[in-house]
Amino acid sequence: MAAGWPDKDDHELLALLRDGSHAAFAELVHRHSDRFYRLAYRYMRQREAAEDIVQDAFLKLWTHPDQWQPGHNTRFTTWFYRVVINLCLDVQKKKSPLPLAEEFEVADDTQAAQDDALIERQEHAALEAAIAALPERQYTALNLCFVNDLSNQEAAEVMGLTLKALQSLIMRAKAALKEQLKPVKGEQRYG
Amino acid sequence: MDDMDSTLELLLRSRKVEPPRPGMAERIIMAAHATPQRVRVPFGVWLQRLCAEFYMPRPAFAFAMLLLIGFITGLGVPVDMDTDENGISQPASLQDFLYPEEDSAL
Repeated sequence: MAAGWPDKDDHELLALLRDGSHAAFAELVHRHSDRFYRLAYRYMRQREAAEDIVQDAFLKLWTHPDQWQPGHNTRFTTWFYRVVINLCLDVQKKKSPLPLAEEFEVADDTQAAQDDALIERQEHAALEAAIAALPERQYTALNLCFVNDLSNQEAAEVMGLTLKALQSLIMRAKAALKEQLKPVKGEQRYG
Repeated sequence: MDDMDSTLELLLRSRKVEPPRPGMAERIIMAAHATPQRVRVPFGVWLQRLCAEFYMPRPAFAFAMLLLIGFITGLGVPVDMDTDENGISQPASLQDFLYPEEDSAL
């Protein structure tokens, strides 16, 4: 890879990509593939399927670089999140719903006592089921804000919403989740 | 924000994402190498490329060759063939053409 690529911003790399630069494309992939994978994984719930989505999205960018239109004050990542989400939704529509993963590992498993770990697993299982039942837009809003750690403003841009509309979506999603998780939490933490 | 809210946010943030298989980025880059890029070409550039296709390094030589080919092709066409009003080939008499008045007098 040519020296100096990491110093170039996304827009410069995209301009080079339009001219057929594989090095610019490689830099973009190295820079962003993980974040888009995290988002795709939340939709697909399978590693291979999420990887395929990310690959398809990047190959679309490579074969049709004109699809990216700079100059609308839109960041590349904001636009590409939308591309990834649309691909995920397309694939989900074509296929039957994926089963939830059987094992929900807790990120901080080593520190938790065994009982707590079990409770957390149950909580995560219940949470995943509750999230999967959310309407599509609420699901997307939660993923963008809590999986990809986007700010509300960024998430609103990705979804093409106003900030207030996004906040409203998140509030409704949280309310729905709380409602569904009440029995689980009532028994375990608040019982 | 109440306890339930903060617990929920904590849970949402701690949802595990299975890491991708090693080399995901490299696989994508390799796939791009095997895929041709389809860039929309502006009309001006397209026209320029079209003209470049017909660029002749030796125009005089090319025209001379064209004439020669035309001449040789012309020699191959039978002299006594002609087309009538309907465009159908008919044998034409050279004598009829050269001496039409003599024919009518006869």
